[in-house]
Amino acid sequence: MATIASNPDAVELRELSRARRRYLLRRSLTAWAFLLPEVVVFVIFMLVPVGWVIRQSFLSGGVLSPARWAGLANWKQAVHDPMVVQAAENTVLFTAIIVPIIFTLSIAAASALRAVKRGGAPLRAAIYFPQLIPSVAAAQIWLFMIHPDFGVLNVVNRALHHPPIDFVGQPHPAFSLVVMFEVWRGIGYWSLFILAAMLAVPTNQYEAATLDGAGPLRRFWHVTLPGIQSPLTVAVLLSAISALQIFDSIYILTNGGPNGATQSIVTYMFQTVFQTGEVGYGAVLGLTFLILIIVLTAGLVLFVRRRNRLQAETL
Amino acid sequence: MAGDSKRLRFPRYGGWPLAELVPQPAFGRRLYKGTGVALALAVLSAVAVGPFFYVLSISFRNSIGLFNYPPHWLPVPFIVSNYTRLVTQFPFWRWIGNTLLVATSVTLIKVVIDSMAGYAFAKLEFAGRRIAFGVILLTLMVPQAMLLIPLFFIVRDLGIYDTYWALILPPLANPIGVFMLRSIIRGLPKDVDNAARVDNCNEFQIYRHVVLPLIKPGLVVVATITFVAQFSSFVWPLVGTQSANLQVLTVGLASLNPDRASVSYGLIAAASVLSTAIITVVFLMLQSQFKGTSLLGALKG
Repeated sequence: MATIASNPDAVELRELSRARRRYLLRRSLTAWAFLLPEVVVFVIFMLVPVGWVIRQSFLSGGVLSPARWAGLANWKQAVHDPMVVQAAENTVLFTAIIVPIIFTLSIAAASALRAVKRGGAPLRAAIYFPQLIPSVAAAQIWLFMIHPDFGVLNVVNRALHHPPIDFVGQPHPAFSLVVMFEVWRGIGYWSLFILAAMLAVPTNQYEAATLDGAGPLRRFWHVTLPGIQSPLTVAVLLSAISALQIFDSIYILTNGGPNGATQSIVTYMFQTVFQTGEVGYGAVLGLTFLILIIVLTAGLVLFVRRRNRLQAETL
Repeated sequence: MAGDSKRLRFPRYGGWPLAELVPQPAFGRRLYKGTGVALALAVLSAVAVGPFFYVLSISFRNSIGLFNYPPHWLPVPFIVSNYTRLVTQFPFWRWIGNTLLVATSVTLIKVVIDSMAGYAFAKLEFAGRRIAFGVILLTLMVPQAMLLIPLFFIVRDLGIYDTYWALILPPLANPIGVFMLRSIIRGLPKDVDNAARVDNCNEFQIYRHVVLPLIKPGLVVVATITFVAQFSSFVWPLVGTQSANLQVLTVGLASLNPDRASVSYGLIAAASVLSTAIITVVFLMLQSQFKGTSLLGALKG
């Protein structure tokens, strides 16, 4: 050691590396100082609750009675619960119906909005409008739309001499009510998102395609769609994640009924906890669902990345 | 199509496509196409805003006018008592005040802490960066409803149950804003902050005086999204508070049940209309902050 210490170059090197370490430490500390407020609320109101749910999934007993270690009992119960199966089926079905409808209509709306020369701003505002309405008010509005006596949908029905449809009390109408509501609210957001992506496609590609004799349909298929592929994938992914979490609209419109026909995983979890008080079982449902979403999303991301070489930072 | 260089430009008369309806045989096909697009958009926007206008019409009716068959599309007889009853017999302004207070506080705090975190993730190298960001990404998938019960206990243990803090603090944990602002800050050229570093600015000065002014449109987008979502948030306020003084708009609206004697359909319609009108005004005010750009341009993840 002494020999190294006496070597002036080595001393300088060691000084340098110490300075460098100090610099690195300082840099990390600065960054964490920026992160501190976010980290505090994030830990208290996100990580701790998630941890609590994980712990609770192994406990029996409600909120009021003392908790006992239940091992895997809650998890076993979930495997044999027919309502879990139905709720999972409904959730997947909701997602598989809502997301394609929203994106077909949103792409059409975005293309039309881009083509329109005048009056674009009010049209965009009108299409975005349902997003703005507070969820409870929006649900009230739809309950008016489907009211058996004065709802618009049933007035049409009555004019055709059909009996009014009970949208909340019958399984299929209730299901389609939730779908209609979600599509109605979702199109505004995603069509504007897709419009923004379309406007970013370089115009010279269209000019080249036009010179090559491509009509509007072929330009759409060979220029527009490839041009918006990566934002579109992100959009589909995000909307699928939120569709899998469908809760607010069902809670207000049908509360999962009739007879579980519109029960989604999240509404079933909510009912388990807040209506029957089985906290541990509710925690298991929530976790199962969380794992399901993470696996689905990871699968989708991997699939997309491999197919499209989508950059990691987009996601 | 916007990129169609051969597209014929019609003289601008400032009005609607009327100018395009001037019969000129050579334009026949284009005319037809343009009409189709306009029609489709008209139908779509009618479906989007139609239900609201139907409820607007209901809000000016009494129950007799409502149940008439065949229905009148316009409110006959026209009454405003639904609105006057709503603001006199129900604490409607209190609901609105609570909602505005909570949504504004959440939005202001979130814009500050999310932009700070976004800056750290976008521009600073530090130990644990990848892990921290991975954890944040993962929690984007956590359904909010799953957290309601633990949040209830945490809020109770912190001694803030049934206070404004219970309404304001938990929503701050939602990381979507960090995610968005990080990608916006990453989009800024490196030279901008490096130039400031060469000029001996510390990181906070760079954040405050260089980055923040540049990402103002992004901040407005995050603020708008946060505010609108907060205005609409329903289940957590329902779980996190119980006293009537703290009821936010959504909780108040949900308590208006047509089974209650004092609540009529017209009253519910009036409440829906008023609350929608208020959030629309706030939204337009936030939008006017853009000056030239719009929410559309910056929505991209």
